[in-house]
Amino acid sequence: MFLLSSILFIANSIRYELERTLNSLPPITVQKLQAGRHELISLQKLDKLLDIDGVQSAIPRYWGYYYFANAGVNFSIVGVDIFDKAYSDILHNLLENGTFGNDGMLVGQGVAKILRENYYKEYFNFVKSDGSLKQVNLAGVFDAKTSLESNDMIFMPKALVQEIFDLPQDKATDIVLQVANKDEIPNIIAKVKEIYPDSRVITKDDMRISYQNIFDYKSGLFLALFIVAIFTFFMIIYDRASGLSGNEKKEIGILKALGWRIEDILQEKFYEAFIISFFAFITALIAALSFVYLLQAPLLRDIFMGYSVLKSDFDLPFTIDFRMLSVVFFLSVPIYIAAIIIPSWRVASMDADEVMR
Amino acid sequence: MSYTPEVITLLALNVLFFCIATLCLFISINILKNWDMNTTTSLQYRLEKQSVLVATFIKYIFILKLPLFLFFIFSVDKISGVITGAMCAAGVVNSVDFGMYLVVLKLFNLYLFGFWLVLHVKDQKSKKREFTKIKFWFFAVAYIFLILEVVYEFSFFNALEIDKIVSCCGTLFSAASSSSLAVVFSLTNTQVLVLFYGMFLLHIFALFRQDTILSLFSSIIFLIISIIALILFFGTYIYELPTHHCPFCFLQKEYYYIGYIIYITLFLATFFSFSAALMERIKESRSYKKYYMISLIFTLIFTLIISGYPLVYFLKNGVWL
Repeated sequence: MFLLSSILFIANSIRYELERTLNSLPPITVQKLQAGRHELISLQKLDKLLDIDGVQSAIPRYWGYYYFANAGVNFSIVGVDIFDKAYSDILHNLLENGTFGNDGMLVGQGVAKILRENYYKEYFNFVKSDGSLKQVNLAGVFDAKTSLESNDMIFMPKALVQEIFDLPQDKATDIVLQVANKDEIPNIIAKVKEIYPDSRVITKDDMRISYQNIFDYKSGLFLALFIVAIFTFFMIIYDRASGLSGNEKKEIGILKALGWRIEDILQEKFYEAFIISFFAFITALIAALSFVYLLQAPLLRDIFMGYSVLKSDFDLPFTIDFRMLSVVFFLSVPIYIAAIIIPSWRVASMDADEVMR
Repeated sequence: MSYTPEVITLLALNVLFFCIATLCLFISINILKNWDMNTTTSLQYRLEKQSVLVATFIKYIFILKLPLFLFFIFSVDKISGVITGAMCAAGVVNSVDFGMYLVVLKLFNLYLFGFWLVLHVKDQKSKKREFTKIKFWFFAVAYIFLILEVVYEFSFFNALEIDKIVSCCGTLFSAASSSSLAVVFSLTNTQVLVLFYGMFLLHIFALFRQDTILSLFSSIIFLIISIIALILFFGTYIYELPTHHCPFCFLQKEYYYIGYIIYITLFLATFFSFSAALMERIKESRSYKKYYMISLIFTLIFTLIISGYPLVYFLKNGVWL
């Protein structure tokens, strides 16, 4: 039960964290597709996108993944200009507080740690596409509310990103649209697709649904764990159902000798089983809560982590929801009670002297 | 096909129900065949012992089924977030052809098992155990419905396709002629209200008089009329939206889960009077005062809650919807 609720707690926390991340994401992202792959988008499209009614602003984004071979990790590098409008909360905070000058960068905590371990304390050498090195100073480390998204991030000036990734001057990675009225999003998507049929438009909702799919429906790993946990529990139940201990038999025998009917004994056993399993439920819950949120779920947490070493470093935020509690409850308490009824009945329906002997 | 933890839980418990109920059925058939209170054979003794086991198990199933029904609605509600087009449980339920039957069947089974329990309590109290045979006959019938429900539920979750586009409750419960409730929607608000409060008064009257036939009749009609009135009239005030008629959406968080309270009180309001009346039909005795009182209290609570919504709306805004 403890394992079961721990797993559910972790999954829930991750989902919560993702949802929080999602809320800080821009409502619409426009990408260009070529041969089914994500391509750089031309900046000329910006004006036309701005002309669509309802679009508040359109901001080009410059970002990419940089593979750091020494540590075997990917950094996400995002290019920003101080004067740009921020398209997400984190960025907004960042731009208000931090500065990185012309050749500095701000890195997430995970990145900072990796760099330290590789003896890059003041700067980092990026390898450009032509093989030459570009030295970028480490201006600071930032801390975001949701560490899942920002752990592997590096912020630096736009020009630097363009230089490192060798991006053409008139192109961006993708374009982010801000929309004043949420209800107009489907309309705007339709218009964008009409003007640029080769574009892929991603909305917050798309992301949310795909995330939920990952955690609820398609994650075989989660399901496997879940089933293992249930079956372990069933094994214990089976053991319980196969017989009562001598003491319990004696107890029933004495009750019968005192004049209790089978009904009374069954009822007593029923309540007893309920109380036992309910307390087990509560205890398991408390144990799981402290395991997950106080100790940050050692061992178990790694199962849920992604491929990248950098991603694995985040806190599980505290959430509890009713449906998860009820899942655990329904899977444990009733089954335990059912398992207790038959053996108690079998003993209770025997004669008192026979039982006690 | 989608196996969320909730669905696994529901299915696991259904398997459990199936096993237990089948075991009970075999014992009940045995009891029905050989039960004779007047003999003192060892077989009769054994049967009496077994009848206790069966009774305990059926009680167990019923007690579990109550919260499980709410849990079912709750998890279906959650799935609606994933299925395209569905906004609440209604869309999900209707995405499978027999989804609506499943919900109705579940409700029906709750009434069946609840009634069985009433029968059982009476049986325990009577010295001669005169209800025992009826009780187990009744269970044999209820078993068929239970199995039907289990089969339905399995095929329901099997047939559920996440990427299928379904209708939202807004279209399912709309005045459009194509919707499933087109006939009901031809009623005007006044007609609905007259019907509802008329039935309410009749139900209260029947409960006060403790009239057997009248309350039997009024319980059933009041249940149906209440649901119709909820869909047609009261629902729109809960949502404060004249076009939204869904009887599922107010189960959601946005409306403070009020739907659960509404449906539970409605269930209690009709169940107790119905079973009391039915018991009196079977055996002429008048010892069900308490049941009528419970029914009366919950009928009042139910009506107060749902009448409160339009009244509060009127007080706030000064107009009716």
